[in-house]
Amino acid sequence: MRGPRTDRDHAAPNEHAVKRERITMEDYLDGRWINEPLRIFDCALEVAGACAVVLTTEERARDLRHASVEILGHAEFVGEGGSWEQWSDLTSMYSVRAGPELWERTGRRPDEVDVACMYDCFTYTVMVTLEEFGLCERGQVGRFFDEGRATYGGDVVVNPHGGLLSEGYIHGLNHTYEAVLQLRGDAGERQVEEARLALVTAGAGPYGGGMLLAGGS
Amino acid sequence: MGASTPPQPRPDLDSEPFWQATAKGQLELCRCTGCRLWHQPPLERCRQCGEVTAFEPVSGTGTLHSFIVVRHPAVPGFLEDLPYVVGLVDLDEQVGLRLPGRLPNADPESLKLGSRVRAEIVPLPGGDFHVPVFRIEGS
Repeated sequence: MRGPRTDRDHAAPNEHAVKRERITMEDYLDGRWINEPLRIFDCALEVAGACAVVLTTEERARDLRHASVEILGHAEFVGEGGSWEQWSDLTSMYSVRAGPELWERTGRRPDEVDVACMYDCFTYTVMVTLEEFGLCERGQVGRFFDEGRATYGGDVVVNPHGGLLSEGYIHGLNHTYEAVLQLRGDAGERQVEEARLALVTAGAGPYGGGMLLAGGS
Repeated sequence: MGASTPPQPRPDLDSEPFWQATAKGQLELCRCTGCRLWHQPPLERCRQCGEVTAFEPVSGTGTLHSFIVVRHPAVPGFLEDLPYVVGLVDLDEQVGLRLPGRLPNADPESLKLGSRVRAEIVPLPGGDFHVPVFRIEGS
């Protein structure tokens, strides 16, 4: 499981992250079971915290002191009436429908994404949604992390803030916050070079959605 | 109410017939009176054809679709049973008709997906409710 380790590597320089110590494969496997097959390092951190996002018109955004980013589009899906246990294929999530729809609506491609802030209530959510949003091939997410394609110098930087697994569970809104920081070039030590396009996702199982943000406006 | 009392159901208009049936030791689920599609969770009207629904008995037999092993008590109750198995069961009545439930005597190490199971209605500790659990056929 390279996923939780990549996440901690990313969180190390993030002063907002609750957990910043790097972990080894042994640490991961020594982590106690919560609900098998999930161990402690597979689970997001429950924390008290807050963040806010200002949403405004393009015209007003031009007047603001900070650089703004643009919402290129979004797509969401609710399947099986939103019932987790009725969801037909447990190896799949809402992203099987929302993923392709996002690219169709925005006219952009998954391989153009520089920063992917993937909702990570649990590691498994990242694994499925990365594949179904098309950022890596189906069934290959393990190798995607092992080969360093999900970090700096790879295909796309996944959760540069350390995600909900390391930064803490602010209901996923901290993913949007991180994407905006990265696109504005305000991410400091963990800045992704020339970050222009960011994918932000929220939700898991049968319901959720994705949003595509662009910087430079 | 001790620390080991599980959360109690709060029946509403849609789910009340389910709890009335389990109180009598029976397993009943919501079904369309028109096109006969089963619905779980229950709905007032059919998602497929819009006709009204009613509760009908199911056999309670099915196959184990998936399961987790609860090793950390994330909800109160069943502390003395840790670790215990919670399964998702595909009922025989309809493809994809699933019920979650505990498998009280299942051994997590030898449990296999696709195992045949049968529902049994048991009292839920801490109140007057009864819930379905699943037992491996032949055990």
